[in-house]
Amino acid sequence: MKSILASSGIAALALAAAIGLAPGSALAADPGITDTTIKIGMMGSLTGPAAMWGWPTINGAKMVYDKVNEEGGINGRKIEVVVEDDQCQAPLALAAAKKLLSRDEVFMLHGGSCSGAVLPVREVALKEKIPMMVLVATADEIVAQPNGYIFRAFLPGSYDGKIIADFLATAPNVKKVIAVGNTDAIANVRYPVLEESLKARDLEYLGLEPIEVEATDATAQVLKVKSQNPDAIVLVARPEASAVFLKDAAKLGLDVPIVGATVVDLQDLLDRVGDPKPMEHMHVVSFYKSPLDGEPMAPWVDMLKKYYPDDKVQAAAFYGTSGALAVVEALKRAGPDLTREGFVKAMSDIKGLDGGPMACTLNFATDDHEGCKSGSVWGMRDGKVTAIGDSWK
Amino acid sequence: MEFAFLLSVGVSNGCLYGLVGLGLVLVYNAQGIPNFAHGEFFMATAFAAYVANVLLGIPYALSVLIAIAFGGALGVVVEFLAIRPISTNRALGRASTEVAVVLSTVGLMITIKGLARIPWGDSVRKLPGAFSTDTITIGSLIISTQRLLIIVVAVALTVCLSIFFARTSLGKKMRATSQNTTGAKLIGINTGHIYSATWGLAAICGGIAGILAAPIIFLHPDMGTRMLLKGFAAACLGGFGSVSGVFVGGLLMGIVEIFFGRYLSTSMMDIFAPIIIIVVLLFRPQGLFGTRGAARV
Repeated sequence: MKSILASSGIAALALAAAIGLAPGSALAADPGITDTTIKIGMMGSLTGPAAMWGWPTINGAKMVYDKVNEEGGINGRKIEVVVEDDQCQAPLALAAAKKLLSRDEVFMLHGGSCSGAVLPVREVALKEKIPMMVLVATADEIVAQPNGYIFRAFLPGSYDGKIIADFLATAPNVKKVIAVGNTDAIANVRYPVLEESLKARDLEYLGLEPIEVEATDATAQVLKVKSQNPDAIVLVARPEASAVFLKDAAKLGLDVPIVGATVVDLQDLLDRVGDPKPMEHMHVVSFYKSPLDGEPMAPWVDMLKKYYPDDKVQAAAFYGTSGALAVVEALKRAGPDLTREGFVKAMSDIKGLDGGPMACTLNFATDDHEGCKSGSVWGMRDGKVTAIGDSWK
Repeated sequence: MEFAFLLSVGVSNGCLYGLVGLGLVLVYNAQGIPNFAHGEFFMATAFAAYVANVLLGIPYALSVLIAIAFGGALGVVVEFLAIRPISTNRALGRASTEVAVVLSTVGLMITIKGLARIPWGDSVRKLPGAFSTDTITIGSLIISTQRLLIIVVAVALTVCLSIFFARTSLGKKMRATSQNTTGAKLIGINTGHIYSATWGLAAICGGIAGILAAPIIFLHPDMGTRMLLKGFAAACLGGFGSVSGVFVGGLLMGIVEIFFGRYLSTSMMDIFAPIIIIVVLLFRPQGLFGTRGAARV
């Protein structure tokens, strides 16, 4: 009997080795892995109305993979990236993810420019147990638990509400706060947390004054806000609408502190407005450690210039960088016997990893895949975009 | 003073809507179809001004003229390459031809926008205003110089177009062609040329609106979409048959919209244009200044 068991065991081991289940064998790997490559599927809005979130963010992540490859790869494997266009549309994102998984047989996904397009992909990733790093989509639901496979390495959508409330609570003479913002999915996710956080800091919330995403004029909004006499404004509007609001606010003498959510970048806003005067009272919660011309951003700006010299150095360029840094770290930690489950475990074990350009350290856990939970507030000081920190200065 | 300020903004917004609506009305009167690609003339001409002035450093006034010429040429080329082959296709019945031409304009809208996104889709750009001073103060009323320019140009263009259609040979031929194409052909009018000229003129109207609006609303490949809807609403409200009616329709829309937003609900401003279109089509399909068409049967 013993000999039968022994021979069965030997046969099972031999079979396991033959089909690649034995420890240490490259053949044991999940799809997308060879002895020399790891295939990562990326998707984003390469074309369509949201194209400005496409290639810039993808290249900002790819440059990290390019650097890794130039330095010899990870455990002998180079990273191979396959990019698909989802145009920020849910059906196309779903099709792109399925194509990457079934035809290109990628090991993992790293993508998603718009929350609405990524949410259906979440279901696929969870059902098929595919590791995924979110590229730039901010909706909380994408990474919400229960979730064994999807990670994010930048500030999620609703988290800036608390940062804004904490910041305004330290501002002098601010008691009443009004929100001006869009009413699309990106903005709506922020209002409940913002209201809750303002109330928690004993600030009166006067409500929301809506502004169109493509607003060409904000006169009505500015006058309505003025009539409510707030001490500060929270601006949760896309860059175009924010710029229009700021210009009209300056024209009509609305001169209270304004704090913008992460949907805008202060430098980008200054470029759009083209005049520092309307920006005087403007602050923005930023993902980044410093403005793009600051010392902390220099390595990332240099990296972008090296690998993608034709790309514009802009805020959007580095939204995906921290995600790529986390992926690389997890791939290293997962070791040569790379599997999807091993990668997910390695990612979940990451603690205290520098977020690269992001103003946070990355901390993941098995039951918490939001790696980055802090940002910094920037403001205009002496006509220059300046990183202020988390309290009024 | 708030009333006067709101009025000035409403009038200038309305003038833009009226200018866009004018281009729509010209094409509609000539060929009986709504041109869904009209917003792309608005966008493409504004980008042409940006290329000439910002990228090539050509003086502002000359850049504007180049851009207007480009816009007009674009309208002519679009009519010649994409509209005329369909509208003159005898294999299609009249109704099918009209549907095919409308679908063609939808295709053009997507194509022109898509082409613009290749070089310009990565970011939003800004065209400088015509004046170095942003605002002027009259008493205690602050008015944007660009908005003042919009009002002056829109009024001047509407007057010029009215004179053009009433007094000039080409204008009369355009009117004749729009009223009875077969009759126009019989008296020797080259209707093909008239259609090209109409599309060119319509594109110029949309393009001028684009150049005037660009310093206020920023340049983006999708900038024409919203304005197309506003232009349609202005044309519906004023009536598709009247140049001055469209202009007044635009004005009314701009003024009502801004006061509605200020004193009732800003969240409703976004859906104001489609509501106007539906209400007018339901209760007065010929618009405020149009007349009901009649046909002898």
